[in-house]
Amino acid sequence: MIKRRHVLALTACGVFAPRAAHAANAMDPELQRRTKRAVAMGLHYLRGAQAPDGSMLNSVGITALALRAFLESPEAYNESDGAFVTRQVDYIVGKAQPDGSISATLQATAYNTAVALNALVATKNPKYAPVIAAGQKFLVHHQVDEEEGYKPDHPFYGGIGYGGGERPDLSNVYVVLEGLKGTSMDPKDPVWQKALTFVSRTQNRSESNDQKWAANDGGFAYRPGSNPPEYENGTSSYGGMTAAGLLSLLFAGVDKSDPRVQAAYKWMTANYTLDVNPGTSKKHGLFYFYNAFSKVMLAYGADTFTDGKGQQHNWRNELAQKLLSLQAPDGSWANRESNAWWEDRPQLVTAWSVIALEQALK
Amino acid sequence: MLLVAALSILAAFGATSTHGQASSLRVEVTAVVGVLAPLFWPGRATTSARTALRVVAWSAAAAAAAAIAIVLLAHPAQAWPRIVWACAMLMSILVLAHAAAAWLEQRWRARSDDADSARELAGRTMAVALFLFGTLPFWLGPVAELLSARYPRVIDLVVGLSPVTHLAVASGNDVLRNSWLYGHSNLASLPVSYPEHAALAWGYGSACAALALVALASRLPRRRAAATRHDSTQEQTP
Repeated sequence: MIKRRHVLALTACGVFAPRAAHAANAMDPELQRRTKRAVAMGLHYLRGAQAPDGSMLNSVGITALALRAFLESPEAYNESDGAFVTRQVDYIVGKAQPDGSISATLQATAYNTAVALNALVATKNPKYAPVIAAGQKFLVHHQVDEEEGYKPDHPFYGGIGYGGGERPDLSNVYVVLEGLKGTSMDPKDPVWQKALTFVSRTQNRSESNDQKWAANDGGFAYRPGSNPPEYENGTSSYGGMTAAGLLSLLFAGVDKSDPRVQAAYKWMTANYTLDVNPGTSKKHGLFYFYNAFSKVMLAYGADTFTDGKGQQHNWRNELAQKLLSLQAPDGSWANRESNAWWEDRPQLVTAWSVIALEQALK
Repeated sequence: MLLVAALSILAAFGATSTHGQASSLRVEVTAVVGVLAPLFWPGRATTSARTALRVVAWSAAAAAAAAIAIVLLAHPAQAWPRIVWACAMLMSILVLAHAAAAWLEQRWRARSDDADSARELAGRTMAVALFLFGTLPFWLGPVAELLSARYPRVIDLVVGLSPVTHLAVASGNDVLRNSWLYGHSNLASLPVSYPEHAALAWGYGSACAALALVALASRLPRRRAAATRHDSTQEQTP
């Protein structure tokens, strides 16, 4: 009997030890300890920033991001840990609408729903399965396709927007695909292929992008034919969107060896920097980039990479060091040099930063 | 004339693009027709009841012109329910605008004998008012954002007062983040909650009902006066 127990224990060690030891090997142990401390401080800030009903800035999206930060933390908080978790869950579930969306406002319904689904899935509570299923249907229905009169040759086709209107962009597509992936959407559902049509039309890769403006560096733009005004409306590739595009490809089941994935990964690593949004000289959307970068590197499965200058980087160490250097004494993060896309709001940016550090710790 | 003017302006704004945004087209068309319609205001009728009828008829005609323009310019094709919602909202806005034009015309007619000038001036005033209110989020949005730290609901108020916002809600368009505006302004970051459909329906429904009551009430004294005249005539008959 004892022997059998030992065998089982050894087997368990064999199965789980590599996973547990992975982050430890990939990240400097002292830095790992400091990163856990920074995550705890960030979560402490987020806990204090909750309204009495658990919401943050009266936004389902930001509340859901904060909730996800708690649920995916090294402490693995869950609903049994207290009101700071259950109030947020209740707030999100309370905003579920009859059409399946989860949102407090008419605009950004798709974004809010997708982020809320990821948070609800992270609770691992089967009680929320009906809300999740309804949200999933809403997101699929919201995709721009023939139902709204758009044909496959239209640049909007397969895309997904914030939710107040149908104007799609790569950022929302990535968030929604993450939500669908997190809720185990059928990989054979047409939603993935339609999304890939849109995603391909945002990549600067003329071999797979039928848009006239497409260049050939492998990176991604915000939407077919234009970037936000903060990036002068051009079509140049930049870091935030290249991470979002690469994640979208991976979520949609495109293989790592696919030339679209390879081209995007090559752009990401060749243009790597954590000082500005890569591909630009600006700090707009910098924390969005950190968040997406951590997810894409984890999803791609590379611990280290070589940049365009031939230098090798350990992304976990460098991202953690960067974020630790930017944390405020109260545990929060905010973009001090740009207020574009709400990055001056510490509630949002702290949630993103904590999630990014949690990815680095995995 | 209204349809031709609207189509010309929309074509100049690039509404004939084949790769446009369907919901934005509904907003563009209804907004342009909405600003132009009061310029063609046909003027008050001889009685309040007939003026009220004219207000409703001209607003309905303008909404129908907008629907035709959407169908003509739509690429991709638009679903009828979407068009009907957008045009119904336009009609509601125009009923109020034309009623205001009729009231202004009456006031200005009392001061001058030139009925045509009063009608034209009333129409132009309402067109300018609609334009200014419609563009409220664009020229007052940044100020509202600055004030929002002290008055949290001020952004909702500024955006919610705009008839263009109402047209956008009815059209299913996130107006501050639509294709054109997203590329040409930073208003997309405004932390705003658009008014709900039900709130808009209640607001416009109440306003239209109030106007109908005013029109009915204005008929009552006249009826009474007519009845009194009729009675006094009968008394004088031998």
